[in-house]
Amino acid sequence: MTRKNILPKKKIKTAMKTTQQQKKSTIKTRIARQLKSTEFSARSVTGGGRFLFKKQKKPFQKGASKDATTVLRTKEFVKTGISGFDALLDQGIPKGTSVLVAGGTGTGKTIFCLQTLFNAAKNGEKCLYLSFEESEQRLKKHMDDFKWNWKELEKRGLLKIVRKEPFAMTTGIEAMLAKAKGELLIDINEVLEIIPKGFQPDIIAVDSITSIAAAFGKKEEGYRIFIEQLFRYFETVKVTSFFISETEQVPTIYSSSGIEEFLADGVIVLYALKQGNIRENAIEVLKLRGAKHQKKIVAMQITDKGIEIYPEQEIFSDVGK
Amino acid sequence: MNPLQVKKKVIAQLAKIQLKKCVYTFVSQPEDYPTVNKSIISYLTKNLKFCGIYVSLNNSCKTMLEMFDQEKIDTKRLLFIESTSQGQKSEVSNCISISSNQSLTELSLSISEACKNDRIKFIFFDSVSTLLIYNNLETTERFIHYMVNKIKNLGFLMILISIDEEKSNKLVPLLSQFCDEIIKIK
Repeated sequence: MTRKNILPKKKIKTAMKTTQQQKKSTIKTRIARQLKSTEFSARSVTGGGRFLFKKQKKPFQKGASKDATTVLRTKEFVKTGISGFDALLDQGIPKGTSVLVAGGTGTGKTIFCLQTLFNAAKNGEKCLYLSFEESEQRLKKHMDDFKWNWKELEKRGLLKIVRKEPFAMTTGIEAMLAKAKGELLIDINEVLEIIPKGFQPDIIAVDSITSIAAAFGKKEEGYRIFIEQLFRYFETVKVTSFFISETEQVPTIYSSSGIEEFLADGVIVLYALKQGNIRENAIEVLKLRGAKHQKKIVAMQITDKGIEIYPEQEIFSDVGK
Repeated sequence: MNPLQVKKKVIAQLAKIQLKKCVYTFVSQPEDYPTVNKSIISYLTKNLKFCGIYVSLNNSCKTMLEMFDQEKIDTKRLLFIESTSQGQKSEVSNCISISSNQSLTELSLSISEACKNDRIKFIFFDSVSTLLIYNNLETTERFIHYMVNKIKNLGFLMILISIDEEKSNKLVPLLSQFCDEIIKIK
């Protein structure tokens, strides 16, 4: 059947063009409005990085079309929820990035990661803590000491703590690497089952890469390939990852092989600085790709509630060179 | 000078100065040091009815309470921060104990926390000379400079005590840069 009022092709083209232009200008206007309205929000409209499309449930202003689906390009961020730490970052840690948490013994690396994962799980993120050192029981005991109710989160499947034997990781890795020669990315999880089957985490903490490196012993080449594959694997599965690295008290390199700090998108350094015969805790965000952050060493304390950071507090202990 | 003369001198000086948003350093002779301290605290809490923070790096909270009780100073007007108990929880409710005279970051955090109390009008720091026993000159200078700026921004009165002796006197030229006045009691 033909309609009487059929429009000529030219008119249709012009009409489509106008509609597209209108759509573009509407989106532009809405982005501008969104920028205004989300001045202090965790999300921002950016020109780079990974983009996620979010539907806005409510119109921005009165009179805006209710059924209009607003499409925004936003970059998402992870907040640690650690008192004072997020104030060091402009918006947070970009989702899907890898962060090296480096520091000497007793600086609070494990607590920092546990607290971040616990807070994220409370906000509905699925979190996995992979321990190559302490047992699950001991880590849970730490959380009990801080009165963090992890049991509820574990029950809801939001927080999982898994103890892995570092030496077991090295077994078969070489064979796997030989088999996968030439491949750019090996499915490391298929062989090593780093992430438990049926669990898709948003955030992972690996405690620690130093233990993994020690398990490799003199096979440095194997460790380097493995760690690179692990970083890439987490990036591919779009998980935000924290890698704990044991260093000197005032480190000049932040990992066992020195390559981890280049592979990681971010480096957070924790200190226990010596001042006379006492030590004072401090923290610094050394680098964080794709996010603005403060560049200073600030005071930190491990209290009975967990880590607390004081972004405005200067450190009086000697940080060294 | 006998204690009465010292007290009179201190009060005469205090009557002259502006008692808010200012930082003063009182330099006292070693033998007059306890009288100078008591006279200042007495004037601020009894005459002016001020509440304040008393930072003591020399005496325990218990010792100070006994000392002020003898002078009939209302110790409820004071919040003590002390280091001699080395972080042990104090039985006295208005006392915060820090781990050491070298824990300057902890000391600074404790003062900041105490300053959140609305009733606080002054910070009394006893003493710069003790800081120098446990910390080097550079660190002490940095700490004092940081605290003075912080207290000035908060709008409180700050009184620093220093002993007239060789080591402490090295600090005086620097203190004169950022203190409103150096008051020598002699």
